[in-house]
Order: sequence, then C-alpha cells, then structure tokens
Amino acid sequence: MITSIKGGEAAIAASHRLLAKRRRGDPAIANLSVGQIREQLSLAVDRVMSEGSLYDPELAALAIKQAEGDLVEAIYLLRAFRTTLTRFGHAEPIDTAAMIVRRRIATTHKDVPGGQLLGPTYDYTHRMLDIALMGEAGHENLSDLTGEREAEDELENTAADADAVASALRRDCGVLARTDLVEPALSEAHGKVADITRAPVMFPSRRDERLQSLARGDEGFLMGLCYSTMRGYGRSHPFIAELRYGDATVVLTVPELDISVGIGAVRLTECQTVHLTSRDDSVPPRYTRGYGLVLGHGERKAISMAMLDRTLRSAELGETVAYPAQDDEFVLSHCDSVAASGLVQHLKLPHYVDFQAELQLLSQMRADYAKRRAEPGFKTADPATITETLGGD
Amino acid sequence: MSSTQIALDEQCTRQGWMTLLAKAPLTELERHWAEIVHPKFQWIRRPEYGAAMLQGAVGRTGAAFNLGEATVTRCTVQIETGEIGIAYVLGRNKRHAALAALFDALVQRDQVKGTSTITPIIAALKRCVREAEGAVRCETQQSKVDFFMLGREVTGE
Repeated sequence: MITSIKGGEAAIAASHRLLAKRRRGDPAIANLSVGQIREQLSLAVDRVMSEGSLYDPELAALAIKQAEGDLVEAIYLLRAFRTTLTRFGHAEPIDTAAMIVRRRIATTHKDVPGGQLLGPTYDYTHRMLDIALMGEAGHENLSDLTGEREAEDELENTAADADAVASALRRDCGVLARTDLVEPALSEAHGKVADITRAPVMFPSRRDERLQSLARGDEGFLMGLCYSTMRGYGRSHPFIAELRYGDATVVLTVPELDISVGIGAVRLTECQTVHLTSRDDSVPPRYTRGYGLVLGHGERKAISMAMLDRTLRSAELGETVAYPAQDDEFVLSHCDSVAASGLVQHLKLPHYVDFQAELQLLSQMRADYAKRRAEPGFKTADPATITETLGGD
Repeated sequence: MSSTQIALDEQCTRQGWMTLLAKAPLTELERHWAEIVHPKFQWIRRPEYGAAMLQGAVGRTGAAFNLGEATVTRCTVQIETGEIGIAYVLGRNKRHAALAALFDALVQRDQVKGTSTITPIIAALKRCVREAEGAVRCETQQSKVDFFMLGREVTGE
C-alpha cells in the first residue's frame, strides 16, 4: 500500500547540513578537488562511469566527491544525470582493434604478435601498504631519481618498435587467430540494436540486451556470479584469449553533414574469453566466445561480463540451464546496483501504515491459531497465502 | 567507416580535420587561436552538451550492442565569409566545441580561397595528437614481458 508522509522539512534540511559538514571533514585538512579525484582516484572514477553508464570522468569525479566516496551512491547520481541529457545520436561500434593499447595480455600463448604488454596493473604488486605514499609527494622517496634517465633512453629505442606493435595489435592473436577452432564473430542481421534505456528487457533476452545490462551491471554482483560458475555452479573455466585496456576513438555520424568523424577517445577494457563447447551436435566441438567490454579500466568486471555473456548463452548452445549464472532473468533483473539499492534501501522509509495493517492481520491470525488449537475441526484461511498477499508495498 | 580509416586519412578531408580538432587538447586549440586573426562569426547553434550512445561489437566483428553513453558537446558557427563550421566533441567543454567549429569554418575558407593560413595549424595538431599517441605506445612498450617456462629435461633412459 502506498501512503504519503508529509512534514519533516526542517529535519531534512538539518540532515543535509550534517551531510555537507561530514563531507568536508576536518577543515584543517585541505579540501579535495574534483580534479584530484579524477586524476588520482581514476579507478573509482572508471567504476562510476561504467556502472553509471555515462563516460565523463569529470562528472564521475564530482559524483564521488558529492557521495563522500560511496561509489554506489555516486553511480546513482551519475545515472540520474544521464537521464537529463539530450541524445545527439549513436556512435558506430567502437573499433577496439585500433585501440591505443595501454595494456594487453593473451593467456593462451606465450608469444603472440604484439607481445604481452603488462601496462599499469596491480597483478604483480606485493599487496603491501606503501608507506612512502603517505609522504608529501614523495619527498622521502629518492629511488626513482637515478632510474629516470634510463627509462628515457629506453623510450627512444622503443619508438620504432611501438609502431610495428601497433599494427600487430590490430589483428586477432593467440587462439582467436585459430578461425578453425573458434566460432566466428558474425553480425546477425536482426535490425535495430536493443536499447534497455528505452525499452525494458524482454525474456528470453537477446544477446545485445544482455551485454548492455551487463556493461552497466554491478561489478561485485557480476564477479560473484562469475566466481560461482568457476566453483561448480555452472562448470565454466574458460581461457582469456585476450584482455586489453586503452584509448579507443569514438566515431559519430554528424547528422548535419552525414559524414563519420572522430569526436574523441574513451578508455575501455575489453575481454575475450573462449570456452570449450561440445553440446551442439550440428557443429564439431569448438571454442565459443564470451565478450566483455566496459567503460574505463575494470578488468574484474570485463572478465566477469565475458564469462556471463557465455553462460547466458547456455540454452542457445544446447546446455542444460541449471544454475543462477545461466538464467538470464535472474542475472539481468538483479545486476543493476541502482535498482537493487533502491529496493533494499526503501526499507528505511516510514512504513507506519503497512506495519499497522500487518499488526491487525497478525492479531487475526493469532486468534485463528488459538481457535484451531482449541477445536481441531475449525477451518480458517491458510496463513501462508495471507502473508504472501501482503508482500510488497 | 572505422576510426582507423579516419585516422589514416590525410588532414585535408573534412572528416580528417574535424577528427583532429576534436582529439587535440584544448590548450593546443587555444594556443593556435591566440595566434590567428579572429574572424567575425555568428552562432548557428551555441555550444550545448548532450550525449551519444556508444556501441561495441561482440568479438569486434559480431553483433553490435549498446555500451553506455558519453557526454558530447556540439556547436555550429557561421563566419563572416559564409562558411559554416560544425563541431562534435566528447565531454562537456563548450570552449573546445566552439573553437573546433570556428577552425572547421576557417579551414573551409582556406580551401575556397586557396590560401593556407589554417592548414599548417591542422598539420601541427596532427603532429601533436600523433606524438601523444606515440608516447603512450612507447611507455606501454616498456612493460612488454617475456614470461619463460621452466621445463624439466627428459633424460632418455
């Protein structure tokens, strides 16, 4: 039941003042600028852009500041802002092969054209707190002063290499180059690309609907599901054929001129997985693909997205659908952090009338219970059906 | 047309220079703008921001899907000699869009008049964008790794 609650303006205004005070923290400590967040907390910014479904590092940084670092709240802020924007058009599918690669690994082969480029990654760090970062801009750290020169010399040597690498990185590598073993990535002619911001997902879902939902889905939820499939709730253990992160050009058709122009670059993480698949008897056993693409640098999410893209194709590929990660309605209906936090947090709102209604029901049920105990033949409505009809408000 | 095809284009096509004007850092546009004779112009569409839906494609060649949106600022100007300049630039920087639109109109004027006042600027922007991309490639290249495998030697017996 919906009931409206009025009043409380003064208390709400006071609550907002307290928020602002806590957000500022100790005034003796310098105020944090949006630019500092954008530049120095870039992975938080990337996560907010990815789940907020809007690429704008400045606004994502602002949202993080406003939400005091609560990323789910920041995602909500960005998602709400997104709805206010006029849409100028659809960009062409981003050519990730032409990406200015900042990191790229292929796990199926040691030597791949273009090589294994570690780039910035925490994978090979020792996970020990670095006390030096607490110092004022590295005042105490002198170790890099001698190393800097060598690095510059090396830069010149690698300049020629880098061009050759750039062209090698355009091609599929490792297992993806084995077109005889991997299912082709063909464009299906089903017309318009689905847009879940305009029309809700219909089940059974299409792959484009799933990928758009997963691309804005909650990293934790997607990773948990991905983890579940690897631990046995779905029997999935793929190979990462390629994982890359870098800058990709956005190409938009300018409506006034009807020509395609680059309008800038976005940073993206792309993950391509291959999964041994043998259930479809119409084709020889082969590798099928999972595909993940996320805004910003988010490898856990890109991998999870690729895995779930594939597990959600179970029915299409003739596999038994038995686990949560294979159930599109389960995954897509629950992967959005804005939707999830909305329903979970609504429990904090006043429920005075609902509770009074339920109390009345409870006293009726208790009276019926007492009667049933006193006279075993007494018939009343099944308490389970009554409580079920009460669920939700 | 793919982004690479545009990237490989000479800067003398409109697609090429519009792409460069969008990709170049604002500081570069400002620097060149400060050095040229400013044209009189009128706004056809003042800089305004909105969004464009980005798309991905499964396995790069497969089915397209919507990835999420990005903020975009657009602007249209007409300079006194009649050329209309248009800009679409990622982000919400109205100055970037306005300067890109003005330069777009000025390059067209160059082409009509057969002059080359702006062409060298476009060439400079191209070098600037190329250098920035090259620098990223070079520093990434330094983290190229060769993992090696240790195998136990099989001694035939």
